[in-house]
Amino acid sequence: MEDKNKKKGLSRRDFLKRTGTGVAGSYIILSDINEAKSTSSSEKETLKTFSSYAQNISITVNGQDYSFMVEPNTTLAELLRDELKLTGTKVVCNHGECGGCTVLMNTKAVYSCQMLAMDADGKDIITIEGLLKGEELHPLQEAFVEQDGMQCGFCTPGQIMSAYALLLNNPQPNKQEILKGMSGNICRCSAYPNIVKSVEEAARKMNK
Amino acid sequence: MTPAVYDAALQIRKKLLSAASAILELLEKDLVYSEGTISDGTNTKKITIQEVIDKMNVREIVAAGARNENPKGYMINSFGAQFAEVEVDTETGRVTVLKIVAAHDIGRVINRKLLENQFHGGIMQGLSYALLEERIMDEYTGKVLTTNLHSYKMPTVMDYPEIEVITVGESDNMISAVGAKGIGEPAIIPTAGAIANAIFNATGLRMKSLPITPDKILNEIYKL
Amino acid sequence: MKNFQYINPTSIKEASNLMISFGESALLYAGGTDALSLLKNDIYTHSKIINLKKIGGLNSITHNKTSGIRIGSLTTISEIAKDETIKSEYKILHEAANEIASPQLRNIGTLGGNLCQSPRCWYYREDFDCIRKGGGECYAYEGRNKFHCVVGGGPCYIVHPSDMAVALLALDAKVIIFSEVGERTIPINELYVLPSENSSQETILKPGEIIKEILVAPPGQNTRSSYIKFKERGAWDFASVSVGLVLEIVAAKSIIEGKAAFGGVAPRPWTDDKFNKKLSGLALNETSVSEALNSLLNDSETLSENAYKLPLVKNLTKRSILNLA
Ligand SMILES: Cc1cc2nc3c(=O)[nH]c(=O)nc-3n(C[C@H](O)[C@H](O)[C@H](O)COP(=O)(O)OP(=O)(O)OC[C@H]3O[C@@H](n4cnc5c(N)ncnc54)[C@H](O)[C@@H]3O)c2cc1C
Ligand code: SF4
Ligand code: FES
Ligand code: FES
Repeated sequence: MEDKNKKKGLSRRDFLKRTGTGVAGSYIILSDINEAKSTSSSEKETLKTFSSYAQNISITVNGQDYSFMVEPNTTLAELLRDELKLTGTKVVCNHGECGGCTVLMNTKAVYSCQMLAMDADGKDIITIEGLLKGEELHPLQEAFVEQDGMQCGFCTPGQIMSAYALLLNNPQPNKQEILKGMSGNICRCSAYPNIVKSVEEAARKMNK
Repeated sequence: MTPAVYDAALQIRKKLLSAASAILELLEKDLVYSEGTISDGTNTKKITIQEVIDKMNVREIVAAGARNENPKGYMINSFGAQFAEVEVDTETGRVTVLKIVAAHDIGRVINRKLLENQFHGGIMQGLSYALLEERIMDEYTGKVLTTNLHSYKMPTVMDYPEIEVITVGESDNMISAVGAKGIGEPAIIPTAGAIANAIFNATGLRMKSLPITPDKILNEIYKL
Repeated sequence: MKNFQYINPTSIKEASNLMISFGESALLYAGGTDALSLLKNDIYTHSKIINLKKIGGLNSITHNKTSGIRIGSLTTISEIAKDETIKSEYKILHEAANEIASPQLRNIGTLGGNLCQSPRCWYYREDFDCIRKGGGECYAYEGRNKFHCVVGGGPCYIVHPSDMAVALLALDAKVIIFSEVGERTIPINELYVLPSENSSQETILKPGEIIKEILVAPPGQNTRSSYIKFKERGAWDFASVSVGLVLEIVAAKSIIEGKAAFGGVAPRPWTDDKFNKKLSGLALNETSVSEALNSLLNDSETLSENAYKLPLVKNLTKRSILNLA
C-alpha cells in the first residue's frame, strides 16, 4: 500500500513537487534581497542562505522515507492527504480546534492541520494507516470496534492517534490521565463513554 | 432504518424461495429456509443459496424495503423520562452534571451496545444544549461570531457525566416489523429540561434561556 | 492561505536582522499554533515568515538554586507542564501550563508564542474592521462582549488570552529580550501595554525584538502558589477569568506577603498593587479574606454582558487564597 502511494506521488507534480535527491532546493530570488531595506553586504550574505518559496524536506511517514519539495503554505495534513493519499487523517476544522487530524510526530500527538509541512522536516510521522500490520488491526483499533467507541466514525482516526500517543508515553494511564490525554479530540456524536472504555481496554490488552 | 432493511431482506428471501421452488420442483409453501440452505424439511431435497444464485445466473439480488406505515387506530409514541443530578457552584455559576438516569421506551432492544452508545450521544447533546452550545450573533450586523469549533463550545471528553440507561417497554410488532421504536433523537429531548429542573431544585433559580452558562447563573444570584 | 516565504535563520541575531530587513512583511513564527490560524484567515498577511525553531539553545529549562529557573522562549508548553522541578517548586506555572489548550497544542505551542499570541476577541478573529485592525470602531463595546475586559479597556476591550503570562506575572518573572542593540531584561509586567497606549499591539516589542528567555527567581521557603482557571468547557477553552497567586505563608495562619495576577479581566495580564499590599499580614480566614477582596477591581467598567466577571474573580481569588492556607 505504501509502495503504491510512493509511485502515485512521483507522478503527481502539480501541487507538490517531489524530488528524488536529497540536495537542498534553496535558491535566491534577488528581488527579495533587494526588497530588504538593509544593504550591508554581510546581511545580503545572510539572506542568500535562505531559500525562497518551495523547499525540500525529508520526512518519515509510517516507517517510509520520503523527500518532497513543498510550498511553505502547505500544512502537514495537506501533505499527508493530498500527496501521500493517507486520507485516514481527517481535516474537519483546519484550525486546531477539533482533533480530527491528529497524527504522531516524534512520538507526540500533534494536529497536522495546524502545522506547516515544512516543520515536519526531518521528523518521524505516524498516521492511523501506520497502525495496521498488513490487514491486522492494532489493539487500539480492535478495542474501538469491540467497545463501540464511535458512532459516525469521523473523529475516530484522530481519537485513536491521541490514544496511541497517550499509551506510548504512559502505558498504564488512570481514568484522569485518559480524560486529559483524550481532551484534544472532539466527538460530535459524543461517544465519549465508549471512547474511554476503548482506551482502557486497549491499555489492558497491550500491557498483557 | 432497521425495519426497512428487514423488509428488503424478506423480499430477497421470497425471491430465493421462488427460484428454489422452481429448481427443486416443490411448492414454495413446503420449503424450509435455514442457515443458507433451502430444503424440503427432511433434507432429501436441498439446495444452498449459492447454488440458487448460480442457477438464477445473477450477480446480486436487489430489493428496496421500507418501514411500514404506522398502523391505523394505534398510537405510537416514544416515551422517555430522565433524571439529572447536578451540582451548582454558586460562587462561580458552574453547573456540573453528576449523573443522568435515562429511562426510555424504545420497543425491542436489538443490540444493547449500540443502543447505549445512542443514549450516551443523545444525552450528551442534550446536556450540551442545556449548558454549553450557543450561536452568538452580532445584533447590529447579523453576523455570527461563533463560527468555529472553539468559540462554539461543544463538549469534550471532560464534560460527560455518569449515565445510567434503563430500557422499558417491550417488542411490539404493531410498531414496526422488528418491534423497535428507536433512540438517539428521543434521548436528547428530556435532558435539558431535567438539568434545568435540577438547577431549580438545588438553587431555586428558574433558568429560562439555554444554554445555562455560568454568567447567567451569576447574573441571577448577584442580581446583575 | 496565501503563500509566503519560510525563512529558517539559525541564530537569534539573524532572525532579528531579517525582521528589520523585511519590516512589516515579516512575522516571527514559533510553534505557529496561533499564527497559522491568523494567516489562514487572512488576518495576518505577512509574506516573510521567520521560523524561530531552527535557532539552537532556546528550547530548554535550566534550574539553578540561587538564580532560579530560566526557560527558553522556544520551550513547548508540554515541556513546562512535565518538568518535575517546576511541578514541585512553581506549582502555579505547572498548573497554568496544564490548563492551556489541548495536549496536541501544548506539544507544539511555545512559551514565547504563548506570551505574544493575538487576542481572541471574536470581532478581531472575524471579518470586522475594528480598531485593533486599524479601523475606527470597537464592535465589542456595544456588541457581544461577555468575554471582554472589565478593567483597563478603551478604546479596545480585549482580554489578553495567555495563561502563562498571568502565572509569570504573579511570579514577577523577567523577560530577556533580544534586539540588534543587545539584550535587555525587563519585568514581565512591562512587556504588556494597554490599548490606551497602543491599540494595535499587545506588547512593547518592536520589529527586530525577540523574546529570548524567561527568568523566575527561586521560591522562598514558605512560598505557595496556584493557578485557577475558570472556563466554560471542561477542557480546551480560554479563561473566562483566571487567578494566579503566589503567597508567602507562615504556619497557615497569615500571609507574609503575596501577589495575585488575573487573566480574563483586562487587555493585559492584570495585577492590582493595592490589593497585593493588603495581602501582607492578611489573616487566613474567610472573613478577613472577603474583606480584603471588597475593593478588588473597584475601578472596573463593565460592559453590557460581562458584569458577572466581578463576583467571579473575587470568589475565585478567595477560593484560591483559602486553598493555599
Ligand atoms: C484552539 C486553540 C486553543 C488555545 N487555547 C489556549 C489556552 O487555553 N491558553 C493559552 O494561553 N493559549 C491558548 N492557545 C493559544 C496559543 O496557540 C498557544 O498557547 C501557544 O503557546 C502559542 O505558541 P506558538 O509557539 O504556537 O505561537 P506562534 O503561533 O508561533 O506565535 C504566536 C505569536 O507570538 C509571536 N512570537 C512567537 N515567539 C516569539 C518570540 N520568541 N518572541 C517574540 N514574539 C514571538 C509570533 O510572531 C506570533 O505573533 C490556543 C490556541 C488554539 C489554536
Ligand atoms: S475589543 Fe478590540 S479587538 Fe475586539 S472589536 Fe473591539 S477593538 Fe476590535
Ligand atoms: S482538523 Fe486539525 S484540529 Fe480540526
Ligand atoms: S463518532 Fe461521530 S464525531 Fe466522533
